[in-house]
Amino acid sequence: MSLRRILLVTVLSLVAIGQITSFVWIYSEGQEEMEEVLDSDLLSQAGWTSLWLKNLPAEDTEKIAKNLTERQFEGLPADWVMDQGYHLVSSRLQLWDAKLQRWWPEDLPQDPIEKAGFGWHDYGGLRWRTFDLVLEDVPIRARLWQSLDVRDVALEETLEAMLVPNLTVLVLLLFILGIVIHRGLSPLAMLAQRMSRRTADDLDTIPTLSRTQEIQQLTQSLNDWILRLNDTLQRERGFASDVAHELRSPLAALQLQLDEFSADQPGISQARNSVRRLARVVDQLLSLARLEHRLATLRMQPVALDALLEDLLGEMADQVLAKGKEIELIGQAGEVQSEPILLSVVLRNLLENASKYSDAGSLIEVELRESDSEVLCLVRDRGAGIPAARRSEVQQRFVRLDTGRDGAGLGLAIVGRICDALHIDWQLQDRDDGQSGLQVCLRWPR
Amino acid sequence: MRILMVEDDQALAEVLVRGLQKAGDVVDWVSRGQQAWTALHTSTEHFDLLVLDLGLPDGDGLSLLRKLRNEGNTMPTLILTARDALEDRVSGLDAGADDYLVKPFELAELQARLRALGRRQRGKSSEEWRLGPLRLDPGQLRAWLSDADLQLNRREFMLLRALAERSGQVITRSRLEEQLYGWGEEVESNTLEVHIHHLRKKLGKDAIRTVRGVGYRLELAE
Repeated sequence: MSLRRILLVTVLSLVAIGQITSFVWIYSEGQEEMEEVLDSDLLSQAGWTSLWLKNLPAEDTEKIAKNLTERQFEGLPADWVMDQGYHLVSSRLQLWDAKLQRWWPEDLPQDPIEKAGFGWHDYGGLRWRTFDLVLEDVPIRARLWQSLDVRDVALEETLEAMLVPNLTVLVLLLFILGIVIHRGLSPLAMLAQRMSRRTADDLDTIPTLSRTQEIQQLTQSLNDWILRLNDTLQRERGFASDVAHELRSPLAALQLQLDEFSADQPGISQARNSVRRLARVVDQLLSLARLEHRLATLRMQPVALDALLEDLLGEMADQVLAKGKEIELIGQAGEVQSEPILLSVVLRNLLENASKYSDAGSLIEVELRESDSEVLCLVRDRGAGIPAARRSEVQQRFVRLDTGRDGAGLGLAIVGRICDALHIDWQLQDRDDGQSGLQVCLRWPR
Repeated sequence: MRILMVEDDQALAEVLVRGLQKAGDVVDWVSRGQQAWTALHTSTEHFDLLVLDLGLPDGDGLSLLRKLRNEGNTMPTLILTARDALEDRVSGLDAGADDYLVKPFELAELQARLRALGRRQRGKSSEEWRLGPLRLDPGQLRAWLSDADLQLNRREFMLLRALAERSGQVITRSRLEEQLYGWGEEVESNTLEVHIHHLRKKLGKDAIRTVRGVGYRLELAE
């Protein structure tokens, strides 16, 4: 879930909860306040009514009692309707002669009036607030009715008046909040984008993307980490080249010193072989060490096989010819998707093997073939070949079938590792032209 | 040739000096970049070649080379180093090295490359120079084999010169074609073969070796 969404949802729901709470609060508080106001209104009406009842002459009382049904009262406040602007407060008066058990008016609920005070009654589908009047020495008791509907209407309208501006503010808040959060978080998105575009060897520090303290802290700690990582990598790479330097200079000296002896001195040729083998082991270990770094930063690109092989063979031909072997490049092919340095490592290893395992005077052939469905590069020698049963074995590290030759048995392991990364199908085969010897086939499907 | 060698591995340096001196070269050996700088600036001797190790105790050989190139010194330089990564080669050549040889190596290969460097240096000037029985005069575009004028046309001469400058090394077809034709000039597919054919007729059948599909190598006894 995105941080932006979490922030937005959290803030909005907090605001919404706040609003609802304040509505509920205002509603209940308002109800109480309104009740007090209306109750005091009811009380003052009750005051008037009791005053009127007390001041009734005795005969009037009788007369009223008699005429309760006839609805003739003088000086008695009738039902009144107060127009309070936009809503109505309606009140009604009910009288009851307790002795005669007569009610006036008769349409209101006829609950006996026993005790003075406030009460609640339902009538006509509404809830009413009532106030009962019980006066000593006065046979007529009164109940004042006040429609509660009025109270609710008043409250609802107050709330309604609050709701509209509140909702507007809420929408506006949502909008502004969205922008602020988007702006605040955009350096993070930018940072993520930049980091994802980086290749594994890109260890430049990150430029400051924002003045915000948090983003600056993040950038700073990422940069610290990058610098430390860079140091470690440098040291590691430096280590490989230090080892190379430390081993190769004495090896070179040793080799040249051995060359100063004449070859017929006992043990010299074995010593020369050992030195050559050691030199090759150093080469292969180093190229293996570098390989992982190259593979991690691999960028595929179109590679012209013709030109690459011409250059590579041109470079290697001197060594091969010096050992009394012939080398040739036949056929043609166009471009393949690959990586030139790694591909050169593969071909160089295969050619070195071919040269190593074939006899003087024999021919090493590199053939390119192209069809609609594939591009093939075949490296063939006229050596002893590798028995089919042992072909998978030689692809593992440090496996050499012929321990008399130089090398650490890393060549084909390196070839296999690179071919996997470059999506090259490769196979050790018998030669397909009838000659004896080994054929290594590199295949790029079209 | 007089060679200045900068190499901090004493055992290697000693055997190299012996080997090169046996072949008739004069070698001055120093083990520090600073000493090389001093030798080049104060010595009255003229050095033909610089052989430079990269990892020196007093700094990187590359910075010495850059310093030299910056002050206009074009002395042919071969870097002799243990660092064989492609980046190292590229930065070495970028810094102004003319060739790059990775340790360990055969003495014969070092000598062949040093000779080639010397020849190329001379090839840049219009002075006459020799390669075994072969004599080339870049000024007049003429060549002689055992003092007999080979009667080469311009393209044949250019081709022979390119092969002779790197005598004993296989030179790829593309590189030879670049030598023969300028950028944008149309190269007919078999022109190179035709020229080589003519050169062989004049130099002798075995003087130029074909590495099929790859290139050619001049094999005159030096």
